[in-house]
Amino acid sequence: MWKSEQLSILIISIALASLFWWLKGRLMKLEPGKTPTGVVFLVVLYVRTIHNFVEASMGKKRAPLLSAYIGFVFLYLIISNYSGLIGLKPPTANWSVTFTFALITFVWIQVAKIKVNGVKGYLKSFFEPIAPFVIPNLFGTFAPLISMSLRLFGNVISGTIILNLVYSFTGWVSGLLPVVGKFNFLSLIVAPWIHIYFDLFSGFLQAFIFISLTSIFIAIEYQDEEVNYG
Amino acid sequence: MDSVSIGKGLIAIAAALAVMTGIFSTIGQAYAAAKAVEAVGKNPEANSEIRTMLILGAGIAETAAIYGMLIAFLLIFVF
Repeated sequence: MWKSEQLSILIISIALASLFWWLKGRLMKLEPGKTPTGVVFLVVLYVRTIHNFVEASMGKKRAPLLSAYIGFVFLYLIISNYSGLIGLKPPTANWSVTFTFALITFVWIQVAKIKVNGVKGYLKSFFEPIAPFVIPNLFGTFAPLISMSLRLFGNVISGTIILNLVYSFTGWVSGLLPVVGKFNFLSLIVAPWIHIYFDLFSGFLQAFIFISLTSIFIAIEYQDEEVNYG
Repeated sequence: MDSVSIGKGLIAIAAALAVMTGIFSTIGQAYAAAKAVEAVGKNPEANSEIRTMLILGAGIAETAAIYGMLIAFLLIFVF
């Protein structure tokens, strides 16, 4: 039997894919020089915002490549975190999802390091300033992988568990009433506020932190290059 | 409540201790908020930028508390 997370991963992936497919058709019809309207306008605005956000930390040269990834990840994380509101189990409440995104970021950081320093310089950077520092250097290399994935995962899973507890507690309290107790009316008063904090606020904040850290970590690797070549 | 045992009680104490990471994370967040208030007082025109940085910093400082919470949940629900 499937866990409900896998089901919601599937639902959200298919929904996003069909959304992108539909938007591609709309964007193809867009004529240059004309002001876009409706959904297309929102898409253009979103791409513009993400591009500006990435450009602020990465510089003009590297921004286009990264902003495509950042834009997709932000959209996916936001929709995943908000999917708790419509009764799905958030895909980000599964560690493998957040770990995958953190792994992509991690690989990107290493690739950027190799591109800037060369393979020899990359391997040498583990033994700096002296050889025994290889252990803390290795920890420092793998720390973003763990911390980025666990931060997002922990936030979402704690929200899910707390909401589960709230729902079962309010169900128990309202079950004390004889006739109307079958309907969990107390959760209608208590739960929305917790949903606002854990799903809306925390979900947006963690998605934003994820993309900020991704762009900052990758920008740090390219920083020396920017200084050298203007 | 017939399944109460010493092991369960120890797990509950361990979970409570794990959640106590929240103390220090709260101190850190409060420090960040105080500094943000100071910064807005010094130059109010940088208001929106300071708010973004404050939320980002507070979210990152929250990480330790989230880890503690995660460990507490693991202790309660897995063991």
